[in-house]
Amino acid sequence: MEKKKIVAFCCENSSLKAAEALSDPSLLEAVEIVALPCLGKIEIGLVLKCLEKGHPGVLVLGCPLDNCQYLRGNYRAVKRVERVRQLLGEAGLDESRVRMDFLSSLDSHRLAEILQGIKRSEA
Amino acid sequence: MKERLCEVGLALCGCGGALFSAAEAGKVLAALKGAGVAVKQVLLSQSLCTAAGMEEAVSHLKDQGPAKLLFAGCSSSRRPGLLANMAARTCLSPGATYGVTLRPGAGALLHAAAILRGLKALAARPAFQTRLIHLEQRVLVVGSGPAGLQSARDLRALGYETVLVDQGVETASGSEGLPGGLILYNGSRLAALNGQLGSFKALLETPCGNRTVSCGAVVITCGAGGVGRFELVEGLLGSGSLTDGAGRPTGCTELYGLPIVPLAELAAFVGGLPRGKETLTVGLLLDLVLDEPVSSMEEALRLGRELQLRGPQRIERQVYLFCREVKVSSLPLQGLYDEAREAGVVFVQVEGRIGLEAEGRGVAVSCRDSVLSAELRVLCDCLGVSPLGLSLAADPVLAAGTGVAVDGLGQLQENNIHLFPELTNRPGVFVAGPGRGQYALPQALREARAAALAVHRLLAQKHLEVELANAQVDADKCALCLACVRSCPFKAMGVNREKAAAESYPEACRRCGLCAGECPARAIELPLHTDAALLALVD
Amino acid sequence: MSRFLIIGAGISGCSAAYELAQEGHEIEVLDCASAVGGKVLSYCCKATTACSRCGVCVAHTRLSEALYHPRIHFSLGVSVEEATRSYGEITVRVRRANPSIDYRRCIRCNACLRACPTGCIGVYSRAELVQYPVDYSRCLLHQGKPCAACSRACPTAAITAGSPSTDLDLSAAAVLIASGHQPYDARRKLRLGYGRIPNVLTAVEAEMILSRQSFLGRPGGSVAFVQCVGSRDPKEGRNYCSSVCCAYALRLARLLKHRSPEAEVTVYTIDLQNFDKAFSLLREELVSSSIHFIRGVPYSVEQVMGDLSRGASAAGSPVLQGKLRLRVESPQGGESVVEHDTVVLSVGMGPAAGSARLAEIFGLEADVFGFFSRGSGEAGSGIVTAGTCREPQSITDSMASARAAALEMGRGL
Repeated sequence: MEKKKIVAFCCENSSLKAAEALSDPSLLEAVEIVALPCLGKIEIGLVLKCLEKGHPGVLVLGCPLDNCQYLRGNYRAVKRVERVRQLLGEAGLDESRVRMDFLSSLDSHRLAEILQGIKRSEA
Repeated sequence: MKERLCEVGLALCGCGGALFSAAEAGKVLAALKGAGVAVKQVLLSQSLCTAAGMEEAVSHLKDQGPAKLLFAGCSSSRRPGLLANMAARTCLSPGATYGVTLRPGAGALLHAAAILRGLKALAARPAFQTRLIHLEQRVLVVGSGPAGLQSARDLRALGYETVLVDQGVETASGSEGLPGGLILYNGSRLAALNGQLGSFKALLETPCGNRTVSCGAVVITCGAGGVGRFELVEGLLGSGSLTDGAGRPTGCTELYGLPIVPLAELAAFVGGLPRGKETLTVGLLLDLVLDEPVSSMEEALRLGRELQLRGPQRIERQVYLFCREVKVSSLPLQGLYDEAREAGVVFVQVEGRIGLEAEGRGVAVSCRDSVLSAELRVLCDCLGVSPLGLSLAADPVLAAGTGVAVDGLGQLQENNIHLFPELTNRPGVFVAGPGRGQYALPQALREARAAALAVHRLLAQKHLEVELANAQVDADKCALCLACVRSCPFKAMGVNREKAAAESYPEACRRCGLCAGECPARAIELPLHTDAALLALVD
Repeated sequence: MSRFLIIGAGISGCSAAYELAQEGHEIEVLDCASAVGGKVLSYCCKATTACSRCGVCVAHTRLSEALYHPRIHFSLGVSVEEATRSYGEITVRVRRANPSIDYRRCIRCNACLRACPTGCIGVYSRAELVQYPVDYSRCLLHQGKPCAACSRACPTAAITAGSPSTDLDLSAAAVLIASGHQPYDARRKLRLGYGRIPNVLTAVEAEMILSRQSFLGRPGGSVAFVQCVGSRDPKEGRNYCSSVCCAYALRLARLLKHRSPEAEVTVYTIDLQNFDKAFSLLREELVSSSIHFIRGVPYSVEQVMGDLSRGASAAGSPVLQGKLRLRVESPQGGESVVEHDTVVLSVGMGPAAGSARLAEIFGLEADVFGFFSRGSGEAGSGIVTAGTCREPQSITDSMASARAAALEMGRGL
């Protein structure tokens, strides 16, 4: 049984492009990437389902605020991630299992930092 | 309406050997077969992602005609338009194509696994029907200032029926006059804009009662409108900047008689002042409320220099220009600034609060000079104030009625980098001019032209074929809470009274999924990214 | 449908090319560099958690849309020799350096990189833009020695490497000049120490560094931005404001502060210039943040070499080795001395190096600073200008300028 990885929800317009331009593509093995047209699609239920299926965490990677191609998707995602963290806290679970970060399509170096951080914490 | 039967084709690209060589391709197909997958047609290539390879693929696929196409190759499947281009030329709808990125060095088995995941996702998508939307060849232009007239002129030249709406009774017709063949509603306002692009229903409040105009697109070019002396003083009182010698409550009505005018009227006002004194002190005030754009500084510099130099004989003038920053970011302005200083205009760079106080028959300007680091009080015989910020950039009622989102300064356009100057959040609705925050005339005119051309790009085809892959609402689950209607940035959701449920409009829906994420009843699905497909990816 | 020629493959040239190609025209784009994208390629994303609307990401998307568009053809490493006009057509003779890559055939397999004996082919990969600039000074073929290793290795025959250069005659219905700008050479300001003193950078260099990492100099070190270097400067013949320097410096300052909250960030300005319609909102945010704004122009930068044992500095405090000491002239007329770890010079924009030659070839009018106004006076001359070769402007304004030029060329409006 393969060890479950952190699920990274990536928006097609920013983090996915950054992921494809990574100088070291092997870093992507640290996470399970799920591509979405916009982070606004993320539902609280989906995030909780990931944790339920045994994934250690969920990383939500989207465009910086006011950079969303669909104008407000990342604002909504911020609210939903906050809500999920609140629910986790109320259930007595570790809130930091779900987190959100912002990077544009040019920020492959920042994505590399994030993935290296994940690799280090699992090692 | 068109329908295609379900058949999947696979376009497999080895990327010049980087992913797999021609020989190894056989291994990938064998691995797929081993997993029990039989694909209808397979197109093998080493260079599908190039323009040349694409030509070859298209000619091949056009004859074979699969209903769905999976492209497996290098990351060029993400390249803008590659799949859409392929789909359009092989008569497939964009929703019937899917791209899988194969990783170099992964080996035949892993390639096959990735292709399998893609096939599952693609199979989960239904083949979409299409609908033909008729595009009304009439355009509504709101606002008949220079920008509105420019748009109207261009639209008439392009052959569209153009309806012009303006709140004022007089129309500013400019040097070229009104373009011919225009329908004009004076003294009227746009109260509401219903419908979607191609079939908007604009509700106009006219002096003769309400009218509904159907149009294909709308261009909004209204700004804050003319700000006269009365509105200016009201605005100054409202912002707390203007007081009389004893504080505000008493003698308020006298403040309307003060020599304070909008910048645009200052030259005429100064010319009309009685010639009693030897030296006339003229104040020009910018940046009172907002950091003003460079066009305000340009106007003030020209005005200041004129007033300083061209006084009538035996009357000296001293011009003081108050601003927070000297804005010179347009090519000729540094030179203009130098000229104004040489002419004798005194520049006061202020920081903190600016106070205006009635004193005698003039106005005293109190502020802190940031260069001298000292408090300053200048008694001006007359004062020209830039009205920017004292009234809203755009009418909030207009914004609410048209569904155009405003930014933090009340300007009719969100501050999103992906919105070109003439675009708004609402497909089919365009903006130009001061209403969206463009106060420089040449740029406003350029944006008005761009808006007219954007309308033309939209309406020229007369019909729009839209794929019915928009967000789908399950009427049984929908509770009409209207969360989706309120949250859709593109105003693409509405209420279907017969079904008693919300529905999305395919011509405006951008398939982003915000509504799906927002719906508390989980009643909305994106056909291109179904919940089932997403869950399968998470496993 | 017509054929158009665009000189300059930066963001303005590519934006115009894209608009025209979408209308159905065929476009040929030329550039003297061996990569598409111009100056934008060196800039970084300046977002914190919020977008700063610098336009670099949108620019990269547009560049890649143009690079892979079937109706747009690029010739890179080009020098323009001559232009003639006859019967409503303009013919331009150019010399294109080889090896030359046809991006409509390139599949990004990197085989040419590996095959090159001198390593003169590099790779630029950011967002969705992948291309291969050639360093002609190291290329054997370009020096006259027969070498076609890259061409032979390419599986899709995308590389031409038969001769050191190829002469081309290109004709078009109209020509767009989008030759861009070049940053002010900060070495001309001797007292600011650029080129002599380590840790004195230009803003362009700062952006290139921030494309790869999240700090300048040492993490947590203090950074100073010096504005108006090579702008508003009558002595250097640049008595104009470059309009973008306040914009990028403020965005970079905000970015640095966000990534390293403990770092001291200071901006030395004459005035703060407006940019975009939401500037007032940004100003409020910046003023209440802990970025220091000082009205005053540093006129000299020195490297402090002493260690603690050497004694106190002019300011009376102990001095650490390696710091940079700035002398700042304040508007009141006094002077102050400050120290920082890194100094970023916000250099202004000037006309591109080859612009005088282009003006001569195409009969363009240039103003006193060397920026182009409209084409040679006659209406219908068929020559249009766009972008920073006309005046210093931001990425978003350049794109708007390019779109306006494309509308004019495509529709004759």
